[in-house]
Amino acid sequence: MGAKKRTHETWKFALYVTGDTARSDSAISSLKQICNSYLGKDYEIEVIDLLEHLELARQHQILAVPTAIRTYPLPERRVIGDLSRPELVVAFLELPTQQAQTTSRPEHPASPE
Amino acid sequence: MKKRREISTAVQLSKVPTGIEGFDDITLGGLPAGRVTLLLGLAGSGKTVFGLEFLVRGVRQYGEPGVLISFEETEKELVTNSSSLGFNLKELVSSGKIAIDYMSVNPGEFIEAGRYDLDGLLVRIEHAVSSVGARRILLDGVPALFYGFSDASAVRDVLVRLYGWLKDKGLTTVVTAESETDMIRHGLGRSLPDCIVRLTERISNNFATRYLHVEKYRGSSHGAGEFPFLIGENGISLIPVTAIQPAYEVSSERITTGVPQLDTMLGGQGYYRGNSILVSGEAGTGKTSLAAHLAHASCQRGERCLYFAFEESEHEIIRNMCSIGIDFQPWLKEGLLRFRSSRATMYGLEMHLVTMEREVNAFQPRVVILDPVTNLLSAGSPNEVQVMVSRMIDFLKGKVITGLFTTLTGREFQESPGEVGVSSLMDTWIVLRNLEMNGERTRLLYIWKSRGMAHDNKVREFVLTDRGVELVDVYAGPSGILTGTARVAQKEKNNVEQVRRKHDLERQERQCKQKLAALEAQIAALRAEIEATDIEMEQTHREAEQYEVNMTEMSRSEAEQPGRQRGRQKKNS
Repeated sequence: MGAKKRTHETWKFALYVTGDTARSDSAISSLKQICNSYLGKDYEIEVIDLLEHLELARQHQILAVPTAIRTYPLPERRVIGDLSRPELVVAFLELPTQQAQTTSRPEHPASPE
Repeated sequence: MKKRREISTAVQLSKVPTGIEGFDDITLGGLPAGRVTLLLGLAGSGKTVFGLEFLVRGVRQYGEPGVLISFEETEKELVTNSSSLGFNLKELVSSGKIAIDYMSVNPGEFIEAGRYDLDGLLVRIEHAVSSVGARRILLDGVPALFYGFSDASAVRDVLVRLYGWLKDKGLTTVVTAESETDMIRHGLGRSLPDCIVRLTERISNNFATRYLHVEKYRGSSHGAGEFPFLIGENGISLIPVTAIQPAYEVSSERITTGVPQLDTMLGGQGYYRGNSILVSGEAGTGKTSLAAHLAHASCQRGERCLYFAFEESEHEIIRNMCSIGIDFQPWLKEGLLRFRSSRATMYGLEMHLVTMEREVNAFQPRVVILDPVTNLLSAGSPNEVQVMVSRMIDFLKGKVITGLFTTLTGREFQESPGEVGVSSLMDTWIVLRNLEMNGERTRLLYIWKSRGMAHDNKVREFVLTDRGVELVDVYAGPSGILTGTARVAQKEKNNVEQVRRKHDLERQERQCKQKLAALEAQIAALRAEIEATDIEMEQTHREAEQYEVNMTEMSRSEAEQPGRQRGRQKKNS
């Protein structure tokens, strides 16, 4: 969903939810919005419904839902919750602070963790 | 007894046996089936072991698959740690009998940005339960959730839903927590679980002893009080002295004590097989010697004997017993005798007991000796040692193994039960005493009690010779009992006395004989006199007759021829 692959430097996210709930929807739209503003189109989001893939919860150590995982670039970063506090998400996922630099490589600002 | 009756009349609460040794006894059947049990205890108190055993025995003994949800240890750690308890978790996992899921709740691994719930937990547990068809579940370290997630209401919410789901599914659940405050603070306190079990560990005499206490059991009675328990290579083993139902196979076979005179004192046949024997006495009274005799006799019959020595080393005992003519070397070579020497202070009582049970199971002896159990006092309180000995007795009796326990008593022999207070548990109690008299120390032996046999109540002197122990009748005279040199002196004195008396008698006899002889001589003399008198009398009588005859003839002839008479007179002159 929302995959707009352009380069090998595409950021990748996995978003784990349980069912089609308001909280799931809010997390999905929130993550998309953040990515759009910080990464332009250089991102992919995979939404996984745990109720359809029970074994994946164990495999990926998911307890809280929703859980968003930055799977690329490494290291893996996790944010839980409906992402209603975008400033925390941006900082923790180390998204480039320069807005919408679609062609630039993502930078790693010294953001508070 | 009252409690048992209540159970049988009350609405039957169904229970699930844990298979944990002793626990099902004190809870009269195990944990509440399909309910939640809260297992409380600090780190290292044995919560995880209890939970693991509950799961593993569930599979092995009751065919109930289980799920282990761990919030603290990873699957790998659990597998490694449980193998030291004899649980092959790996095998049970690969055969689909147990599912393990480690829930990582490290707050450093993520940030919270907005509202969330913990449905992932439910999803994972549901998946684990259905994957093996679990009937039992262990949630180990649940409170970690409260530290991992800042939204306590989310944690509380998921736990309430989880417990509800587990109850609906009828899974028998064990939840571990370090303390209740974790649970109570979040509204999951005492009212939620149907059963609360607390594990504690206390240190006395520098040794930690574990205790288990059933604090609550909704709808059921249970053993009150704290029960000491051990964690050994076969898991948890409770010591519910009060719950053990003595139902041993009782043997009426008798075995020799190794000391013929002692056999005689014990109804002529020695100990009963499978009985427990207490030999108490001060230092140096010969307790070990008596124990060695039993060991020796056992090996002579070709029966294995296991000797736990808490004071002397194997070599010391072998050397010392050689001096009283008992040679253990052949038995050691044949594998009939095995020594296990350990310092009492080496480890705690629970480990001692577990170790001993393990050794007994491995060696399969018919006779076991613990010498001396009082040394274990350095590893526990008298009460704990008593519990341990009692447990050991039960264990041995269950296997019809004869057990000989020695206890070291103080210098002043206490007539009340021995210092460890185990004498009441024993079938036969032999008391050894030192006696100081006339500047000499001697040993005494007597049988304080011996169940089920007519035994000798007399005090015997216990003599250690180079041919082993000998029991000698003591001299009981007007001045009390005499032993040792005094006894020997008395015997000597008696001998002299006897000889003198013998001489006296002989003299008297001789005198009598002489007197008799004299009298007989007198009689003979008198007889001779009588005879002589008789003869004299006869002669006199004959002379008198002759005279009569002569006189008659003379008077007749004078009347017929008076001249002739004259003439004849003339002629005669």
